[in-house]
Amino acid sequence: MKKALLYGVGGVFIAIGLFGLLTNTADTHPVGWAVWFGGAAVLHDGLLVPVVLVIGALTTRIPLPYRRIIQAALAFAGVVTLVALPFVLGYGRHPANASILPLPYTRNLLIILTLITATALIALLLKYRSSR
Amino acid sequence: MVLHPADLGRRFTSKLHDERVAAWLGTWLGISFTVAFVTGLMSHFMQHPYAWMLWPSRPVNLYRFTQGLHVIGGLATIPLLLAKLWTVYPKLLEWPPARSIGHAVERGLVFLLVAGALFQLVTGLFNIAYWYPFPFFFTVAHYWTAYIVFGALVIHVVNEWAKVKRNVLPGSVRVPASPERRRFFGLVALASGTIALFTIGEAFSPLAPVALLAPRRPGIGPQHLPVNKAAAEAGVLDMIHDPGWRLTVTGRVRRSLSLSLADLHALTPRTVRLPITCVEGWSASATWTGVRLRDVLALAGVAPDARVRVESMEPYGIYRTSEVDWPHWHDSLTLLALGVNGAPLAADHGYPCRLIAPDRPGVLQTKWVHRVVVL
Repeated sequence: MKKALLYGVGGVFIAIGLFGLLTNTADTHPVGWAVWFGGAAVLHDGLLVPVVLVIGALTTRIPLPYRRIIQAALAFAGVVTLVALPFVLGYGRHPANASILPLPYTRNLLIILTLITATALIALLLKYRSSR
Repeated sequence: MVLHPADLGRRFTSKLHDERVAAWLGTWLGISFTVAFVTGLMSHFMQHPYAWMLWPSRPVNLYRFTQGLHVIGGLATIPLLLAKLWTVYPKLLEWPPARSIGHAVERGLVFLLVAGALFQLVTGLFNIAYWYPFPFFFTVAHYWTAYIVFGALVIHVVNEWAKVKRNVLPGSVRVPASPERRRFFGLVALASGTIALFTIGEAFSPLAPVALLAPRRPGIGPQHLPVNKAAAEAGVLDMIHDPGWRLTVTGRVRRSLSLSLADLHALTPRTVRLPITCVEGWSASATWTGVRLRDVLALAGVAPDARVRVESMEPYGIYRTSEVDWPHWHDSLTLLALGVNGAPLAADHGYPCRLIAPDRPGVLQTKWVHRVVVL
């Protein structure tokens, strides 16, 4: 009973969303929206995760105590890079407005990636020393 | 070698493709997306209120907080979502794809949830980077898609509730401690925290120096204040320096006003400290000088519960005008500002006159004002 009610609530929210998307077509461009909506899932499931899985499989050749550190550093660096990418590419810069994307994002991303790499190297070194 | 699809799911050997991991990450995601939905609705209905809606003008930083949470929280959710989807990825390859009609419907709803969650985070990220490679209008598509995601989330939570009870809630089944699991959660938290740390300075100024990945930095812009729409882009450069500029107050008033810049400067000057709080999540405080909107309205004589429309000289644009309800125009902090940070407004900040009010999205802090209409 409670379950059916909650299914109903969820269904109503989905219906509201679809109704809004299909009645504001000048702004929502339903076909373009569907391409981006489905495309997000397809690119994630069909490209991003397989790439991660292949890299993950390659790391299994590394001896176990070091593998975890390298896997963690790669995943960490990867996700930070993904988030930083739109800023690094900088397509949103406005010639008349220098306060939009005002920072050197490529350099800043490299700083963060360097920090991650340095931390991983220290962890690897500590692991190596403790294993001897 | 031909791999039968039925065998594919068994090739995932990591112990992290696990119900307990999925339940914990899922719980955090559920909380995060619910917070984003609620704060997003607040932002939407502040900008597009129904006639019966009245937003308070205090606390001053309420919208700054909710919208900062929406945007920085959304950014921090990206590692969480990617980790969760990686954890449950073997389920994508289930064979057969559907065991029954009910199962097919359930998977269809999971598709809506996954695609919608990715869509919201990707378009949100693109939006704060001012990058619009998609054909739809961001705010409208992001708004309506949010309902789909939240609806699919409610249904997903109902379907997975037994797993949440088994693994997360008090009284959950005790399982042997797993350093692998703990490390994985630690990594997700570290990635989310790092992204938040390097962006939150765009809303929380004390951390501005470490906002390495923020699309804005408080302090950078004309008069040390970021700008969303420059005067050149708004097409007002020719008009704002016209010596014939007047602020007119018309509509349901006892007497219409036409005030020159000198007339405005002759009114009681006020100085307030208020943030510009952008829908894109950044915010920055400034010291504004000008006259109280309520003083100007009192000169014209208006009903105490009147709604007023503030109009910009911008020739076009959906944010050309904004409406101010009585809780905001009664507020002593709400100014028709003439200066900021010790100097007359720069062209990009709305010269000669702009609205500045507490607890209000930046797009409604109308710039280049030339008319106030009492509705």
